[in-house]
Amino acid sequence: MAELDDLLALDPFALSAADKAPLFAAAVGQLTRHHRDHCADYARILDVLGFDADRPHGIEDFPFLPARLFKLRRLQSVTDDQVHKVLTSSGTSGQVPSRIVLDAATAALQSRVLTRIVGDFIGKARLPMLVIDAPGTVKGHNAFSARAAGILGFSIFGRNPTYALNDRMELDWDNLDRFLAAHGGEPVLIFGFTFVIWQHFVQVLEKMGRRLNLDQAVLIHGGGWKKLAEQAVDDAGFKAGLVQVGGIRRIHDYYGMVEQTGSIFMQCAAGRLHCPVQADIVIRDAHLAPLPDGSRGLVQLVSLLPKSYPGHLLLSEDEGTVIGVDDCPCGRPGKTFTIHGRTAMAEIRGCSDAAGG
Amino acid sequence: MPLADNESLIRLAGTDPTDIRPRVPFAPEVLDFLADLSTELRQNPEARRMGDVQSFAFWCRRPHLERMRQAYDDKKRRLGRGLAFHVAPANVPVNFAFSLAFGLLAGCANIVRVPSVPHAVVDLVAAVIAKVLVRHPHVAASNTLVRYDAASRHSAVFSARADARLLWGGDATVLALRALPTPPRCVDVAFADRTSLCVMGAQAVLDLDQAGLDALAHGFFNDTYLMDQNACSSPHLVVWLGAGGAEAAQRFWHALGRKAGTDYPQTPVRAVDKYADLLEAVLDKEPISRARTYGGAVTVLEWSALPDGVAGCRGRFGLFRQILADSLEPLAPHLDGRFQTLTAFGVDRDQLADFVVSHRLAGVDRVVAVGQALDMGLTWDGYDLIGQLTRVVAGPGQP
Repeated sequence: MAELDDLLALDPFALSAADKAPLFAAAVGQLTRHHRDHCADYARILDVLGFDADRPHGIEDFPFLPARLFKLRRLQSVTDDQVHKVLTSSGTSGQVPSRIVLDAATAALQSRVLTRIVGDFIGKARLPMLVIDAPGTVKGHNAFSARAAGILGFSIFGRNPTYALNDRMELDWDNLDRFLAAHGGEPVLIFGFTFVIWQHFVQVLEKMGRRLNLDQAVLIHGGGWKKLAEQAVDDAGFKAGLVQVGGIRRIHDYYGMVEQTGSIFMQCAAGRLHCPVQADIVIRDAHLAPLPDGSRGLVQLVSLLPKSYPGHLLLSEDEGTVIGVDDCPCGRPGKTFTIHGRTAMAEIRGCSDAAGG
Repeated sequence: MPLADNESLIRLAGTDPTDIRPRVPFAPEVLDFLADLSTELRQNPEARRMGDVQSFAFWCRRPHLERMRQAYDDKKRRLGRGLAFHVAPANVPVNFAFSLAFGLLAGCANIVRVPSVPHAVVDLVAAVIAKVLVRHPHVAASNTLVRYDAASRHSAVFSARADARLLWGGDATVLALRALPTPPRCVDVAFADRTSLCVMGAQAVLDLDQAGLDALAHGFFNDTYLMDQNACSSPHLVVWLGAGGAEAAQRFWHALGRKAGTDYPQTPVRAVDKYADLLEAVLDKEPISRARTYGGAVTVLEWSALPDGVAGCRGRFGLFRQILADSLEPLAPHLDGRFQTLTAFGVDRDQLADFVVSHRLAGVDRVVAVGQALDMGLTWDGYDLIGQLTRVVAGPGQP
């Protein structure tokens, strides 16, 4: 698996889009053949779709799976005795959990690639870390939520994580004061989910009129904009709020799916989400056909990391647009894009399930 | 309009039936009311833009009512059963009006519960019914349209008064309603979850000229895509009968692909649902040899054999199964009670209906031409609705 191994070993922003494309397509082909040969269900899907994985294809031509299929079925390309752990993330508001089967190699690959992608944005030093969430979020039955997975996954970039909220989701001033006394004005790492940061940190501090000394902090957030969009808060408004309550200016949103942990898309200082060498996206229309750059459509995510389960080509239910290729002012090469949010639900017609309405 | 609390009841038309004396079926004042309603709906500028409303208006115009009256005349003395309570479906909005019309034509007084979530079609037709009822006071005194929350006690109260009930909905909804106590002689007509299929004569499709092929695709489109394939009478499986089935299928699906490609408003959510359904069918081990798409809106799963549970294999948003067959014999054991409509092209429909009877099938209540799957009639879901909603007064010479 020459191309696949080469790309996995590269720095995340080492290649231009043109240099990456043929290697990436070949690597996706290798991974597709690997899953065909090790997952009978996946082989059958390729067969029914009439897809010949032995011939070369562009990345937009490979069959993809709706991410929700992992909520309905457990699909794996390893034997049961090779299973290291099964991620059963329930998502932020979902009911049925995804079941993602990891072997030791895939789990290690996920944290290795995540480290290199995030390191490109925040540097290699492990900074004191402030988590904008409650300690209870990562404990007990919550431990498998997407929020817990995010907090635990990003904790490897910080030292001595301090939780800014108590389990009632109120600011924990004992913890905050201690953290600020020790690290105020120093470089620190802040991590949290977008709506938690907004609702339980920015808005509360704004109401109290408090300003924290965090102007050397770098803040990473993710988890989606649905709840903020309902309050008409956009990326610019979110960032302005953080400047106001803490002088926080280095802010990076990230986009990714729990079904493709590790290969995330980080937002740069220019506000664009970046495809690393190890991942890519394809934008698709209402018939799931690929769209040219600049068009708005469904986001399909491609990751080279999933080897123990056939989740390397996944269709999300988010809409996005490719902004540019190799032209970001931040200097990182590759494809950049933006996310608009979840695609609209359809009105269902038909005669079943009637009187409930 | 929001409900103040879950017990409130909004009366959209008519009055709570004070006069529940039965009428004869197809009573003149009922035909006058429905014909008047038909004219009003066909003239209303808003209603003219709603295809399903116009289908209903066309159905209850006077000449068609007269034809139904003559076709039904079985020389028996009949009277409506009394008070009929209807629970209309949420997702086929115009069916509340059909349900009311069935009750009226049978000679019943009617309480029709429309879905609690407001819907443009329901609201408009209900408003027109209210307006027309004013001109027909005798009908108004025995009929009403109401809206209330499904969780309220009103369904129980109306059920306790009902001589007949027409219950539309999914299996769970129908079972919950049937658990409500009714008077001992109350008759229930339950329209629960059903499914449907289509049989095409391969040679007949191959013999079609382009115009005929396009007309067939148009009819099939109306049977399926107009309700996102969710209607009980929309086919999910197409059986290609006789030699040349593979070629006939290709020809037909390409034509449907052109029709649906221009006329079906596909959305990303529907496309993802449809694709996920396809993959689930594969993972469920349906005997699929290939999945093919014809344009963006048509996807066909080619079966190499009939699986167990054919009735449970349903598509949405333009996902169909097909199988090639030399005869219908192998299909017979699969046609269980969940099958409602068999649409057909190029195969004699009388022979198909005879097939259902001679094979003593539990399923298939209705055999119609492709294009007529959604056409409502007084025989629906296997029920003779006039027969169900009337009682017979036996006397000399009329046993």
